[in-house]
Amino acid sequence: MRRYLIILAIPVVALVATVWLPFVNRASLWFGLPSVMVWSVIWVLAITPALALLEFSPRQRDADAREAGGGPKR
Amino acid sequence: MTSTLTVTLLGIVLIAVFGFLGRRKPTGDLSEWTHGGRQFGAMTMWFLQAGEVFTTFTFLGMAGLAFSGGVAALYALPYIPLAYVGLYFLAPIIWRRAHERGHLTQADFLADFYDSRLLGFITAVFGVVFLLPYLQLQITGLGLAVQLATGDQTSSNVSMVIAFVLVVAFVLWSGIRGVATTSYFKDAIMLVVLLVLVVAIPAHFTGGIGATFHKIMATHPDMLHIHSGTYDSAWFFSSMVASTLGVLFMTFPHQWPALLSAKSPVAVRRNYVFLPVYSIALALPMIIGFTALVVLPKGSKSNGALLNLVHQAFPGWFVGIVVVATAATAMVPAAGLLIGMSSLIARNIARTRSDRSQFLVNQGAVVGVTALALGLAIARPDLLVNLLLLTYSGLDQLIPAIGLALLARKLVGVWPVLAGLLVGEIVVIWLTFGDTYSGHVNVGLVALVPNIVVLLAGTVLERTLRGTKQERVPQLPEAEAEPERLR
Repeated sequence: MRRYLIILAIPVVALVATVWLPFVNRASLWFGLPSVMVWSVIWVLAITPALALLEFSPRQRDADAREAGGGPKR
Repeated sequence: MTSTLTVTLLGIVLIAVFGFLGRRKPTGDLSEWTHGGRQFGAMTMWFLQAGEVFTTFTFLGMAGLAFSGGVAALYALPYIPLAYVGLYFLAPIIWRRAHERGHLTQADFLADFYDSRLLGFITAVFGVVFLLPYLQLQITGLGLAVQLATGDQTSSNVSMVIAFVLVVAFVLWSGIRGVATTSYFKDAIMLVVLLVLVVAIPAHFTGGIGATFHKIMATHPDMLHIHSGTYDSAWFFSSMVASTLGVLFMTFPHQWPALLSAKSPVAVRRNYVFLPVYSIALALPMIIGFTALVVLPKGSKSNGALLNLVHQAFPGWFVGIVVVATAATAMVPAAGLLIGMSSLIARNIARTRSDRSQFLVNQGAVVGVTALALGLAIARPDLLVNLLLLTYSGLDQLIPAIGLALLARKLVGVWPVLAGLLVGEIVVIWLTFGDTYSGHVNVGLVALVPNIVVLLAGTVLERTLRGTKQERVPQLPEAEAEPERLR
């Protein structure tokens, strides 16, 4: 679980740090678009697979199965 | 009647038809009306919550902000996905507790946790007061779109009245189910229109998206990075953080019906997994705003940037379709706002003696609140503009109260929370209207500091007077289980 949370933290940190990263926050174009825009879009898109790793992890599946079965919750 | 106005009015009626399709027969049960019997799966939830993301502000305002502030507008792109990361963990806690304790509103949740009807009343009043200008913004946004497209103020007023009479009608009939069905239509038309515009407008005016940004690089390079000035790093960072925290802690009352309508915590979580993908569509109106930067003369009205370009580049009937998409981004979020506000009035502000009278108050509130916002939008459009400045920062002051209420144990009593909230609101009003604050750090974040200081001081005082006993929240086994799962 900790591994998944670390993966999830990567896009969060990348997005929060956008304005402080000199190689991102400058007047430059990446693939013809502003670097800040490309950076933001890439890391926003990365949130979905990072959350999906957590959501579809065996541990989460077990927790859901326990809850659905009315079993004891840890 | 021009082809633009004809298409616009037909589109507005079509949106309302989708709203009526949400329910076959009207219900008299407030819970069913507000939360659809808590039966929505991840797909419906997705459209409901995506519907909250795209309002007239995002459709017209994002293009306008990119036009006036360049890439600084991109603060709005990550804040909602960042909040979804936190909501993935927090929203199931809220859902479970609300489900077990029968909460219908944000104020129900707070009043129950802190065992204080007064706190519920005060947060509900703040919720309604701060959302009223937000509702009016949707109405004036629709009016602005029609006016820019037709050049006629009367057509604008008529469209606003027709659209919002229809919104009231389908909201009264269908409740949240109507919001869900209109959301399908809204998101479909909005995405199609945005994709057409983001390709066609740069191609028409500059030769393409790449050419647009190369022109900006040559003529307005400052617009491609965040630098000193009005939209500086402090503004960008603090606006993003304040907005993220506001969404993460569910400070907007109209977020609650959509969340509580989910059929299970799994549906809630799955929704937050996939919603960030949709959020990148916010970049599309920004690209159009950048195109306006190299096309429109300096000093042009920023909120009209998108429609101004559309008007120059497309035939009347397509301008009408764009206005219908704009109308959808006004009518659908407005319907969600009405459900959030009316349920607060019926549940937490008005004193009612029966379920029946509560439902009637709710329905009356839908009509009354819309009439007030519509009347002000037409007669005094500027009256609530200043109040809108308070909406985000003011609602951010609920963060400590809601954050502490997510814990399994009551660490703080109601009086410190209430004192912090009131001090936070006073500081927000003072900083916004007092002409004393010239910083660029978000006012809501600044005001959170005294809010939390007063809360902590009050807690120390309360514990000194009453001992250090911590109250356990009654009957909340699910809420206690959730933090354990996070580890």
